[in-house]
Amino acid sequence: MPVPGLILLAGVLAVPLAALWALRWAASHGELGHGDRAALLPFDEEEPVGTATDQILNRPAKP
Amino acid sequence: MSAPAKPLSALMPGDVSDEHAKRALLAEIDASCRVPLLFFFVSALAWLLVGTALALVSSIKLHDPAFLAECPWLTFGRVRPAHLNAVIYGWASQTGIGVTLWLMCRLCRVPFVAPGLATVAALFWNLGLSVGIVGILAGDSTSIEWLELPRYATPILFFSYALIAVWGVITFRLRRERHLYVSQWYLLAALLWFPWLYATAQILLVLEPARGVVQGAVNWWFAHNVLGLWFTPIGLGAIYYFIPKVIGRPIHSYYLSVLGFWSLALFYNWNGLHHLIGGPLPAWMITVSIVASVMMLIPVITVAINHHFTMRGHFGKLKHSPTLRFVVFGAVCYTLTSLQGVANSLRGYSEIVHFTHHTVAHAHLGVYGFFTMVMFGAMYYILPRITGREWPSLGLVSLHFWACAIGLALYVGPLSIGGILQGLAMNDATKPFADVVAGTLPYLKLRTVAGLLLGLGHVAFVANLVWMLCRVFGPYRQPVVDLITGNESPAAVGK
Amino acid sequence: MSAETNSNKSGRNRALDRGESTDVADLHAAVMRERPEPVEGMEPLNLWLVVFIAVLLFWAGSYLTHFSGGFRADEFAESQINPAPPPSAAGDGADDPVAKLAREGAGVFAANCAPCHQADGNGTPNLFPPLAGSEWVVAEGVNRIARFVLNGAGGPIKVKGMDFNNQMNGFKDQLDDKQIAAVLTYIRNTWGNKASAVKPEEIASIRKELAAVTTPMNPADVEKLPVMVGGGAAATTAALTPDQLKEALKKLPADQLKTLLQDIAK
Repeated sequence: MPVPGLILLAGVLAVPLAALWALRWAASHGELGHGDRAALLPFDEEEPVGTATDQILNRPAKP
Repeated sequence: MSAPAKPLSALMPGDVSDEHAKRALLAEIDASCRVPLLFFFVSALAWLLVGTALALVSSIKLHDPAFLAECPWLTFGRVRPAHLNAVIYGWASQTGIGVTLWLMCRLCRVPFVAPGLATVAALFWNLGLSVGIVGILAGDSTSIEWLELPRYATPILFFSYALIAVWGVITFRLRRERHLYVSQWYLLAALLWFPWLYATAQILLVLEPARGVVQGAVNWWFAHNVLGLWFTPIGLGAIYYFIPKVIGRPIHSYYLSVLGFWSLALFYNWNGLHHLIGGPLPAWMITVSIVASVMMLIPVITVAINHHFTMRGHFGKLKHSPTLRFVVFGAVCYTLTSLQGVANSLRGYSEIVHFTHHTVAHAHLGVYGFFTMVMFGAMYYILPRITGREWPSLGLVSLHFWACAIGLALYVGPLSIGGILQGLAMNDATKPFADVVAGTLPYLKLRTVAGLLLGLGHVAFVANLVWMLCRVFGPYRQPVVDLITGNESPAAVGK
Repeated sequence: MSAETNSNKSGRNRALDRGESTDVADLHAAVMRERPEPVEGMEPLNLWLVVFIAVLLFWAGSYLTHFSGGFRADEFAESQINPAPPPSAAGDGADDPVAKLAREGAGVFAANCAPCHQADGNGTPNLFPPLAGSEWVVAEGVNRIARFVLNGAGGPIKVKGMDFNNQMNGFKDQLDDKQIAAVLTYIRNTWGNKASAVKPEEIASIRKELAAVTTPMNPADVEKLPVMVGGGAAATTAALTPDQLKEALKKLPADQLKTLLQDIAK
């Protein structure tokens, strides 16, 4: 089989296998559960939950 | 100070436990992103302007064929693919890579690894693309849709991309946050999907061309997947980060996010062949593709529900945040363009809209309304943070948003309807073809107007950025407006 | 409080850009505000979403079964519910041959004839004669009309009581026998027309007769020719059952029948 054919075949096999592996990895590492923890990942102490950021247009009057 | 922060720390598991260390880390992350990200963003915007100019030329040519007709470099057959490649690989891919890099750093909680590597990658990406676009305009196009870049340009792009992918894997391996956020799923998948798509298409279409209908099948598998497995995951990854981040509220349901990601991964790859309905392919290939296209309703509706319920009660913040405006606009366009795409993939509907301007409107609703708008939003968020400077003119921000929003509505709305009318007329054998073509003229002229509006928005954005960057190189000044609350910055007031 | 500010300043000048709240009450309020809301990120899947996905999957299965052409590599008809048997087993009249030929002819007509004779077969008054209801088209045989298709037509012609005098191009070089047979079958069985199907062999025999003729046919001359291909009913015997042949012979005028019988006797 010519080299390009081998690359194609490898790709066709590798991508679904990688997907299956990733799904298994996700399941075994709690990535599919613990939604409460994962959902908080964009936040940190500087910009915690409950604080809106990027409020620069039409600035609200300071209360 | 540390007392109220504690409950939040408890919600934020991670290896970095010390609060001050975390602060320093975030600052370090943003600062480390500065050079490579600015390189990607600025060159992406340069390509956006080039792409807009090429788009306007091709749009005008459609209702005024004599326009620039003397110059062979600017004939329609060259300008249109040059426009497509400039905006896809120059603008959308580069800004998408920039946003991906920043989100990966932020969510992995590691500073930008080897910024030099990424900067070299950006340099080569622009080099390869410049060679390619000039090649297309000079007449060297491969004439394969979405892969028009001549074969001497693609290895440079591929080399550059390899560096970026290596970078992504390194960053992921070095991550300090064990748990993955849904955005990371999307971004990592995109980083891996794109080289697979591009390499397969290059081999099967350019290097060792397959024969017969396989070419058409591979071509549309590739072209559709560039949208679905490269731009869509980057755009969705950004939306999943920025909506919660801006409104300060976690995503409605993380389980929906997981379902949305995996159903997209399962179904999108099959979609491309619905472009070949009525073509000489075995019926089952088209049918499988149509089924997968309709199955895309699952990720699309899942994502739409998730984003809508996250936003519920926070729509007022659209007034104040440029990022939220652009990102939510993009999210809505994602839902619309996906539903339109499902309809387009059905045989009865495809018979009407295929080969009409409807398809063009659909593509722009996706790549512009969804992806480009989300990227604008992301850049409004990221650029002040990596440069430490506020946007100098809020008026230009508003001008940018409204010019793009109105321009896009003016582009997509009439052209979609015009496309359906055109399709109905073309299917009517009693109508002479020339009459059908003449009937599309009003819509094509309207499109040029819409394109001018979009161009105005782009110029406003670039002007604002240039203004901001000039400040970077000037003396350091505190931003006037606080980035988070929008109030006068205490530091600036203090001075 | 001051220690906090100091550590920020020493750590990074820009920490303040981000406006992290230095006011304990502010920060506290933000956390308090979140409490009444439901636990975020844990909303379970909606029941109706699950139902919707189930319905979609059901539809997918049914659509795949109906329109996949049996997953055959050589089945291209997208709406084929039952895939056609393999070519080797075909040809036993599973499909109505007239309808099949007419389907093929529809494409030929749209591409070659419709510009003048119009998709509805009504032609254009004074310019192009109608085909719908035309006595030339629905004649018992295609000996006359096929000549027009092959070589074109030129000269005055009367169709449905209307006079036309225009030039029509021949399609000898563009269309093969099968295509012409198909398009003639189509126009003879559309727009309310009803006539027999046309065989490619009939066209082939007329084509042979006209091999040396390069000019368009004059309708006045063509009208003198017999309606049936090959000069009479006899030519079509191959395609007729004995009963049909008997019927056809009965229809012939007595003198023609006599000549025919004499010919056969020879």
